[in-house]
This record gives sequence, structure tokens and C-alpha cells, in this order.
Amino acid sequence: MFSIREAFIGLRRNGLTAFIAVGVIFFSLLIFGLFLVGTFNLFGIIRIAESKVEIDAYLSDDISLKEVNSLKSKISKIVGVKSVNYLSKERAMEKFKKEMKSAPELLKALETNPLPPSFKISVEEGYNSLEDIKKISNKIRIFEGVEDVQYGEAWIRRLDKLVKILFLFDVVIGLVISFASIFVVSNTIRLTVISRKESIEVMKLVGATDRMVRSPFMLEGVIEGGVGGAVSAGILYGLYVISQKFVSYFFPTNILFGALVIFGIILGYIGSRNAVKTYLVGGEG
Amino acid sequence: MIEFKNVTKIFQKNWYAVREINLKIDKGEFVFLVGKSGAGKSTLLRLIYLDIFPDSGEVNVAGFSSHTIKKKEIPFLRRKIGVIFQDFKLLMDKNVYENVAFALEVTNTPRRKIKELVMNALADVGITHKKNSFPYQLSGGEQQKVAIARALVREPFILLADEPTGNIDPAGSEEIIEILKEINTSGTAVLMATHQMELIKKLPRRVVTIDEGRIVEDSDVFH
Repeated sequence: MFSIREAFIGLRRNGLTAFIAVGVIFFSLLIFGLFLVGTFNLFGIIRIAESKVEIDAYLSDDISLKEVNSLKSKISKIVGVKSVNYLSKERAMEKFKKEMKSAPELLKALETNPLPPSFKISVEEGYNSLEDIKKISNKIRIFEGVEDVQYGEAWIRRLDKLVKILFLFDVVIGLVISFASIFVVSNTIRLTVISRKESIEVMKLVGATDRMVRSPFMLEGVIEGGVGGAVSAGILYGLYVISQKFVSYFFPTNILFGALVIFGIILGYIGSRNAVKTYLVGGEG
Repeated sequence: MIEFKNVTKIFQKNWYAVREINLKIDKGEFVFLVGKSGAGKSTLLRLIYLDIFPDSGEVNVAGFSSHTIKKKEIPFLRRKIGVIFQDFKLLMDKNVYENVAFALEVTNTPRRKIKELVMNALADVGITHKKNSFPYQLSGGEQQKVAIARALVREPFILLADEPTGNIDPAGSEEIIEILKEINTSGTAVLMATHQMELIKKLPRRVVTIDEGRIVEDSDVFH
């Protein structure tokens, strides 16, 4: 009870300090939030790119429909395979004609249909690394009726590399921003505590236990951190709504609000606890 | 009550803040602790409320020993001791009433009880009419009265006063001394550190003189 009342009195009477603290926390977490939005969208784009990864299995020309069906069910059972779509010789030709509209003379040169029937196989999320694709392809290759398997190795290799670089880049930026936030927020809260070190001195003098001294400050720190986090999430949401008119992107509302508020609270907690600790162990008392 | 047994406190290498102090203060006594600035008066007081610990020797206060007391017991020792300072150490963001009540709130005294005790303490030092004022609105003498009320509100067995009149004009100082005298009359021991000899002349009590960390004179009555 004492702690709660003291925390709120502290916030009210030291309004300017509290306001500055919330402002600094808000700004640090805003940057952190922008980073989160960026990361979510980056990985969203990567996921879309990865879902485009497909395996083409070319079948022998004279394959019967029955064999196609049995092959299809066999391939579907392979771990990591999401869907198997059959493309008959005729459909393949139609598709080819559509794609080659600009070169009608080339089409005319074709007297027969040279295109083999094929399966377009898409893989499940988590199975789109080059290694997994290779494994799945090798399993398909050994089935009777399958002539050849292709999966755009070069493109997957490039995507893989890009994802790895982006991931590393993102982690590094994330760490830098996180550490900067931790540093700035905990020091700001530390300053609010230091500005009231007389209060701590007096509390100790009149016989307050360490816990009693600590708790109002920690509660204040937690409130400042939480409010700073919520405000930054709110502002980010506002920016999202406004920018939606110009560009569309993914905004993880719940995760973002949760992450920023919790991050703020944790920083407030740690910052205030460490700051008060300095004064509790400062004297020998 | 309070006993120093051969107490030495060294702050930095070879700087003895107090040296081989042997001192006993009994219940209800009024003792002046005199000496020049830096003689070790404040150190001696801080050793009583265990803000610092002796490097050798032992301090016994109200059943607690500096040898055996646990860190978490220190707050409970402090609740039995009132301390006032030259710079009052009031909380600037709290008014008079809140400053005094604070000493009880930190120990979870029930609210109704707090009001009664605070009003009594404020009445004892004659500052009830300023209970809603903030420290910066008060004179030095008035601020010290608030500090005394805060020290007394928990009915300590001893009041430690570290140069309590150092920042107060002569008229105000006399008032403070008068209050300390009354407190002592009602049974609370008072240990007052001062370098203002004229105060001692007006109030003949036991005087302990300290110089360069050592007790050089201890008289039961001022001569």
C-alpha cells in the first residue's frame, strides 16, 4: 500500500523528471518498435519468396493416367511436400503458347508437342532450404516414370544466401538497438532515482527496510517503462494507419504492443532496481 | 543503552576518524559532544545508528551489537533512534505533515494511528499550524522543528542531534535547545554534537570533548 501510494506521489510531485523519463523511454522504444516492424516485414517478404520455391518433376511421355495418380500419391507422402499439381502434355503446351505469344513463328515451327507431362511440387515451410529441396528431389527422382527433376538450384542458393545475410544483419541491428535501449532507459530511470537520493537516505534513516526503500522506486520505474512502451506502440500504430494510404505492409499490432510494453516494463524494473541498489549498499547500512 | 568499547574507525589509510573510544550513555541522559569540525563527532553519531561500522572495538546500542547485528536488523535498530542534522534532511517534495508521517509509513503503521502520532509530535515542537507547508516555505528553525518531530514520532529512546543549530539564527537556536531540553525531561536521552560552546554554558550537562578522534575530556557536569 505504502509503495503504491509513494510511487504515485513520487510520479506526481516529480512530474517533470517522470515526464522526461517517459519521453526518453518512448523514443528508445519507438526505434526498437520500428526495427520490429521492419523485421516482421522483411521476414514476411522472405517467406513469400521461399514459398515460391517449386520442384518440377518431368514424367515420361507415355505415362498413363493411372500411373500419374499413383505417382502423385507417392510423392504427396514424402515428408516436406505440401502439394503436387499435375500438368499434362496438353496443358503444358497451352501454357507455353501463352508465354510465347510474342514469338508466333517459333510456335509454328513446332509440329508436335515436345513438352513432357510434369508435376509441380511445392514444399512446406521449413523445407525450403537447398538441402531439403535436394533430398526431396532425390526421393522423387527414383520413382518409375519420373524422367528428370529440376528445382532452380541457382535461385534457391541465392535466396538462401540472401536470407542468411539479411538475418545476420537484422540480428546485429537488433542487438545494437536493444543494447542502446537498455542503456538509455536504465540510465534515464537511474537519473530519476538519483534525483531523489535524499529520499532514500531519509527512508534508511527512519528505519525503512531495503524492500520498503526499493519498492516505490521500482514501481515508478515499471510504470514509466510501461507507459513509455505503450505510447511508442500507440504512435507506431498511428504512423501505420497514416502510411497505409501510401504503402501497404504488415503491422503486427498485438505483438508490437505486447513487446514494447513488456520491454519497457522490464527496462524500468531493471533500471530502477539497479539504481536504488547503489544507494542501499552505498552506506554500510 | 549505548556503549562504545575501544572503538576505532579508519576512513582512509592512516586517517583515524575516531580512535579507541570508550563511552557509555545511560537512559535519559543529556550529553553534549563537543569538538572542532572534523574532530570525529559525526562519525561517533553515525556509529550509533550503524550508518558505518567500527574497524575495531564494539558498539552496543539498545541490545544490538555492531559485532553480531545482521544487515536486515539495522532498520529495526534505527526505529529506536531519532536523528536530526544541521541540514535537516527533510523531503522537499513532501509537506510538514507528510515528512513526519513518512517515518511511520515506512514501518507500516496503521493510518489512523499515524494521524494521531504525527499531530502529537507536531504539537510537541509547536509547528502544528504549518502542517501543510512545504520545507522551502519554512525558516531554518521551523525546519529543524519538523525534523525533531519526525525523529520523535516513533518515541525513540535517544535523540542524536548532529549540530542541530548550525544553520539557525540565535533566537531559533535557543528555541531548539529548549525543545531538546523538554524532550530530555520527558525521558528521552539526547546526544547533541556541537561546536557552539555558548550553548553549553546555558545548559549545564555532561560534556564529552573529542579531539582528533579521541575523547579528551568527559565531565558529568560542565565546569
